[in-house]
Amino acid sequence: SFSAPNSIISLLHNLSNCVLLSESKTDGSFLIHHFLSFFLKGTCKVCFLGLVQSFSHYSTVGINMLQAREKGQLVFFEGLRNSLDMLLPESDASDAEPQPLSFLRWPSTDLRNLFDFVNSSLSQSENDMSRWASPVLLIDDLSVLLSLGVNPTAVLDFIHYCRMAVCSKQQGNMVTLVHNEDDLGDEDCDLVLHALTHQSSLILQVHGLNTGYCRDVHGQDKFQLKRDHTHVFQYKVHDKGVSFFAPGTSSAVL
Amino acid sequence: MLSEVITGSEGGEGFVLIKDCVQCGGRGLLKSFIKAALLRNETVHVFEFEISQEEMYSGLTDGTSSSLVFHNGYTDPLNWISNEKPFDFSIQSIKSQIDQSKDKESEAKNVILVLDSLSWLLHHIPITDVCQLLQEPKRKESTVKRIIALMHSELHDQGIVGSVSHMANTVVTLSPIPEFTTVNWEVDPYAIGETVQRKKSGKVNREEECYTVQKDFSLIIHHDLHNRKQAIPKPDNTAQVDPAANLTFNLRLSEEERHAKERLSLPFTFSEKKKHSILQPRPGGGKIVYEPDAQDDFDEEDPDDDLDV
Repeated sequence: SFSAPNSIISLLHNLSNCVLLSESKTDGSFLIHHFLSFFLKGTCKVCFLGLVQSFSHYSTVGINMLQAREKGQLVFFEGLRNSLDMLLPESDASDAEPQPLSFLRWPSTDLRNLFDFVNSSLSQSENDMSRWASPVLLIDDLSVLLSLGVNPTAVLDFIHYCRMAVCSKQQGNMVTLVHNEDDLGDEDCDLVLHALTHQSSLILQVHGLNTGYCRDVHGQDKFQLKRDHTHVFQYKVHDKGVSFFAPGTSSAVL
Repeated sequence: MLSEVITGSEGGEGFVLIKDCVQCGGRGLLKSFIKAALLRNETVHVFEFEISQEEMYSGLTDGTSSSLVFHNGYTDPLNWISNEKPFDFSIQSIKSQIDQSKDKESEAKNVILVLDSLSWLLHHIPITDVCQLLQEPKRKESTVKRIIALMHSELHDQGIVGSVSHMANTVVTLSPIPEFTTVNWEVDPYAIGETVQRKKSGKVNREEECYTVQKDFSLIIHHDLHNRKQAIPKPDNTAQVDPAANLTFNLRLSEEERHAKERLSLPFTFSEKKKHSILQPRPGGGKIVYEPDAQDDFDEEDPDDDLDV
């Protein structure tokens, strides 16, 4: 596998970065797995907002989520289960604690409670600071919030506060996955995508090949470092991870 | 022209709008404006909503300059973190914050107001309020001499972008450099800035320049943009590929084959020859003989016997 994408990603360890993953006509979640594994191995404290898949989905051969959670390294927010609890509460006295997904029930228009959850998960105590490297926020994925009816300005405000708390205040990293369907004409999606593009220091655009499905080359990934050049790689997803190679140099072709 | 607008020698008064895009951000240019103003010892009030104070100060100032007043709208503009000292970004508050630090000795207009970014303000307060603020330099009693605002054009309706642009005395629109393949630049060009300036006389000046902002936020203009544009011949990307070439079978026709193909008549076209081979006309043509039976009541006026008379 090609080393250049990994060297780009390894830059993330030393700088506080806002990373944007945009997937277009393909499934970009393999990059979430890649980053999750990368940061957990780098002993970073990770807050993972898993809004679209269950906890066990992300546990693979390379990533021991259960162990990371038990150690206190990983805070996983299971959006699917939590949303069900919000919509079908077991008891009526549920106003005791502000819920991260309160926007699903009450007509509150902002994601303040979700931010409070992220902030408290990643604010490092004295004990934490000696154990873990810089904090990391992973979001899979942001577009689902728009689908649930959240105003794009509210989504951007949420990202603003996360970036402030994680990247600016604690020199940590933030990785956000969004869908990019620019041929659909969805103004809300476009607004969020463009705003995040302005704010991010590393942008990875993943899209399927124009020629359609291919067994050996799953798609193309464009890495763009702000203030720097753009690199294009093709990739193939395996059970244990992903391999990147320069366009046209898949081992199936050479 | 861009350099003159930045140094203030031309178009010093009024509202300057920088419109950037996702491919080329305008913050470097904005900082270039701020740096030039600081060098002229002018009072600059920066209302910052998108980046941290450290990021804004980096390269610009070490924080000791009293002519740069920083208003932090980044850390907690919506009051989510603490309930003390909420940051009020309403127009009245912005104006009063500027007036508070007014130099009491001079009543003249001397404040430069920087909005980073106008897009953030437009998403959080009504556009009518924003427009009122942008009119400040025109008001006689105001201390604001100049407003410099950064706007991300893709984040708004074209109507809003148009209205705000219309209010500006000077608009700098950034666009990415088109692909040049064989040019060696001494310094990599960053973007193309189109500067449109509306003078009080009604005259409009327009110029397109290729620029780069240096690390110290001084500006480099690459003057020979247009010459270089014309010198590059357009690469022929659409070379026609002959699909009948390099095959293991022959798809081409020789002259005789082409003639034979054109002469061939297709199965269902109706020519004289076909007619003769299918039909056998007798002399005199066809003849129909009808002898009505005794029961037939042939009515000339109602041959089908279906009229209800």
